[in-house]
Amino acid sequence: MKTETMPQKSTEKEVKQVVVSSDSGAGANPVDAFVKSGKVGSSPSHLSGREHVTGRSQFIDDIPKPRNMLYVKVLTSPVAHGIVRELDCEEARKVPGVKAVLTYRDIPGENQIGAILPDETCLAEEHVHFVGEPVAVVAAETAEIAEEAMGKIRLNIEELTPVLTIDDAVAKNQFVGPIRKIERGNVDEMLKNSPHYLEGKVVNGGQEHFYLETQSALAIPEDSGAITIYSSTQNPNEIQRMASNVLGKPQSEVTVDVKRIGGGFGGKESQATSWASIAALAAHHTGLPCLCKLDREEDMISTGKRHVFESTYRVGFDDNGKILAFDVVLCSNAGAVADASTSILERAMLHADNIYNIDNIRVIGKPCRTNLHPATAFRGFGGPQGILVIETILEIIANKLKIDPFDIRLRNIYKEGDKAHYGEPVKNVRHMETILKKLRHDSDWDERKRKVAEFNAKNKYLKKGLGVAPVKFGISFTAAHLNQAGSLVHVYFDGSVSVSHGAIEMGQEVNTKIGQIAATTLGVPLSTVRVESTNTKRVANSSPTAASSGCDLNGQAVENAAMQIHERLTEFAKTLFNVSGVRFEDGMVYAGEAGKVNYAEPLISFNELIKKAYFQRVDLTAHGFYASPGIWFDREKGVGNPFLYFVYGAGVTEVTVDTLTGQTKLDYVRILHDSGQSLNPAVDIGQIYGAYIQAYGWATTEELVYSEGGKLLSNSPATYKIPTYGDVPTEFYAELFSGSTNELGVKRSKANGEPPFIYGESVLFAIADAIASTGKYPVNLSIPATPEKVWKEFCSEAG
Amino acid sequence: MKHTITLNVNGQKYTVDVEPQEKLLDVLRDKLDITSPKKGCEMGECGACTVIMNGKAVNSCLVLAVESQDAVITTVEALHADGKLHPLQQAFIDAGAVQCGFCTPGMIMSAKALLDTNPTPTEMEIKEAIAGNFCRCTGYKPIVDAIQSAAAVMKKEGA
Ligand code: FES
Ligand code: FES
Repeated sequence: MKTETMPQKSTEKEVKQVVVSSDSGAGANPVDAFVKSGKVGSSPSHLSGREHVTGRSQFIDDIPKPRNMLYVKVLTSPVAHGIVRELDCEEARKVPGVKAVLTYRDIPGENQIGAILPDETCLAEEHVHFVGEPVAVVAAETAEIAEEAMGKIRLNIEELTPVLTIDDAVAKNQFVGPIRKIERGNVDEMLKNSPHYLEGKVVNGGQEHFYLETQSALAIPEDSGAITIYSSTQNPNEIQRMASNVLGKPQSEVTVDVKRIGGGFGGKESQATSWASIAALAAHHTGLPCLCKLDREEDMISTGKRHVFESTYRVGFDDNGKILAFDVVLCSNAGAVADASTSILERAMLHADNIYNIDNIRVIGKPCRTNLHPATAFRGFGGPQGILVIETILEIIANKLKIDPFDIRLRNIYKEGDKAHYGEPVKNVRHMETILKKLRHDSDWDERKRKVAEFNAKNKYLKKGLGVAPVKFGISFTAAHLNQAGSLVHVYFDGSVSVSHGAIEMGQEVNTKIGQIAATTLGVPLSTVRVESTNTKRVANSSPTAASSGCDLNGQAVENAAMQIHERLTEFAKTLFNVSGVRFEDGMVYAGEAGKVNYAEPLISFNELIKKAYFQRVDLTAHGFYASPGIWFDREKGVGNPFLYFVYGAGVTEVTVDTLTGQTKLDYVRILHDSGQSLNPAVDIGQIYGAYIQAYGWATTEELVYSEGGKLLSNSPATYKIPTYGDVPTEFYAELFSGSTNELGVKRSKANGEPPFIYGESVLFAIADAIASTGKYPVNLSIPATPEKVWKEFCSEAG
Repeated sequence: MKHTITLNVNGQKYTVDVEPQEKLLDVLRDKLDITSPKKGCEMGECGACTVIMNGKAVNSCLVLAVESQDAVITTVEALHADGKLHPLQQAFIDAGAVQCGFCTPGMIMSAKALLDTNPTPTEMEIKEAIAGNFCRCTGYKPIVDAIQSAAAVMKKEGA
């Protein structure tokens, strides 16, 4: 890695840019304290950074074990499809140290944890539907005893033929939800009349989340039949809802609390519910605290992953590579239960256009039900799969017509004022064009292309390739009701601030950003703000931390609460000092209004003002709320305004591929990404690096392999390869686009978690480009482009 | 059959009874309440459980507790003294090398074992030292930046 260049520098540069533009222009501020104070636009470090590096930060398994705590083990189905003929727990119950062995018969409430569609049992009844489906639960004094007892449960299942593939499910008409369509123009007509026509299939593999902290939950019985669940979840509200449903209790008796989680990436959006409900069920029956933590293999076998998609397309285009008609059927392998599959497919369909204006377009989506573990949310939530199709098509057309990959994209790109295929105006899409052009320039694309060709001409066994992947990512939950958030802000007598919100801290530093928002809004230093755990008692009915929207929604809710307190304090201070306006800045209160603040002489410190306000009985607590405006989507008709705004960006990748081994090495990566007015540039850059490498893994080495019977064979880090440091590009640059703002985002920022995942698709195109350099057309690659597949492509004859 | 072992962890001597198959990781976490080494895989693949044992970085999930008789073990809890962070800890914070933080203690211990024996590692040497540590969040780049800048700080402080 070249150390003399970039990221740090680019981050610093960005910090400055953002700071300059986020200063709301309140006259001369003597305190050059943006970075120190942690205002929005600066890059204060991770709020829990110190805890993490000193080993004090607690994850579920690190919470000091309560007295008499039991260890929970879950017996899961060893077969993909079958009828339970025998489930006998008597011997298991006799093992000394076992406190409970539970099956669905022991569920006091409803045996149902499907949050979107009710098709998922907590514990299997007569049927099992996938390998790893929970069947019985043992709670015992030690994990070893629980394990031993589990071995004594007699489970006999009559095996039925499983449905494992998309083709099979389509043939049998097995879907987890309705088939949907979005259409505009006259696709069939235009396909017939286009100068060029192509058809084909784009396939992508699934992906294991491999969050480092496996699924875990600790349930503790409380006073009067209540239960508190500490869970490693992105979705405390859903756990509260589902666990209370399973226990037959009102939601008010179940509390879910989350301090932080050791990675989620979507894998704990709905997939944490099962284990939390099971821990709660065991705690309910035994009256003792119960810990359910999966080991890595159990986690990999039982829990959901990114959706496999197989998409067939037909496309018509002209001599310039302009797409005239596009017809695509997106089929996802949803696994055995609906989970969030219908929403994920919907997002894939809404992203089938990516950044391109296609007048005649038809997108059909089929969520196929099979006998695999559920497929679930994973960073991008269907977006990457939807985008992959159109981007692959453009690569093929560019190759066929000998058009530069940037040129073909610019020829098809949306113009300001255009509408997406579902009718929403693609606002601010002009930035996309600017980004592509700037990235082409900054990455020396044209010169690089020349050098790559030169290299390929000289080298027989090593081949280089270049790829680009742009993104337009729609921000909002497509299920409109989820676009709401609540918060609770207290200012205590000493001036310190407590902030609660509904989002989950999982490394994306939502707490740092929200702390910055609260500090900036109240005009206090970030060091006086404490961001609390996420707790269903403090903030109710929260949405999952997903869709990149955690900070957007909850940040606005916190801003709203802080603003209420700020307004009360403003009125109080104005009266107190008999001035017409006041400004709160870094813990001090100044007289004056925007542009005319007297910074020379503070009126009073924030802390002193709070004391006075308390004695005058000013309310120093506020509940905040936010609901994104104007969002709707009519699924039946396939039209609407599902997104609040779009995030834009693009990434370029250069690879060297070894034709003899099929191994790929990342040489150069440059990304230009639109974060609006970034809340915390360093955090956003960090998200880009992380997302890119995660997507690189999906695109190349992460391969899920199943037995014929539908059991996951790549079920450990020994058989499933996620990227390690050796995979990091020699030159790796990420920069935030400085020309954008966002009236609709919190403090004019844009959401950041998922969109950068798309840039990793440029790896696939770069590999294909390396293969194409040998004259092969069309290149036949799918995700993951494993060394084996790449090697085979090099071996197969040029067509 | 239980064995009684004595080991030195973070400068403190402990005597514990262990089962023959018990792993050092479980002893540290469950018996000594030292929870910075994490359970990421328990099969020697992810590096989340890395501690320094007799000067070398090891996956404590692969070390039998009985093998740690008389061993000197350091975990990340012992790195900061008197409220001052070790340069590696500070650099991890400053470089944004921590996201979810689950890999962090193991990552820092692998880096420390490297810098203890090789204060001016090349990028290749850093690569090798943390090759066995997974991070699913950061994309690794900030981690390497952190290790490099910590090495520079330590060199300056040592000089
Ligand atoms: S837990 Fe020891 S290497 Fe993963
Ligand atoms: S910071 Fe999350 S795994 Fe490394």
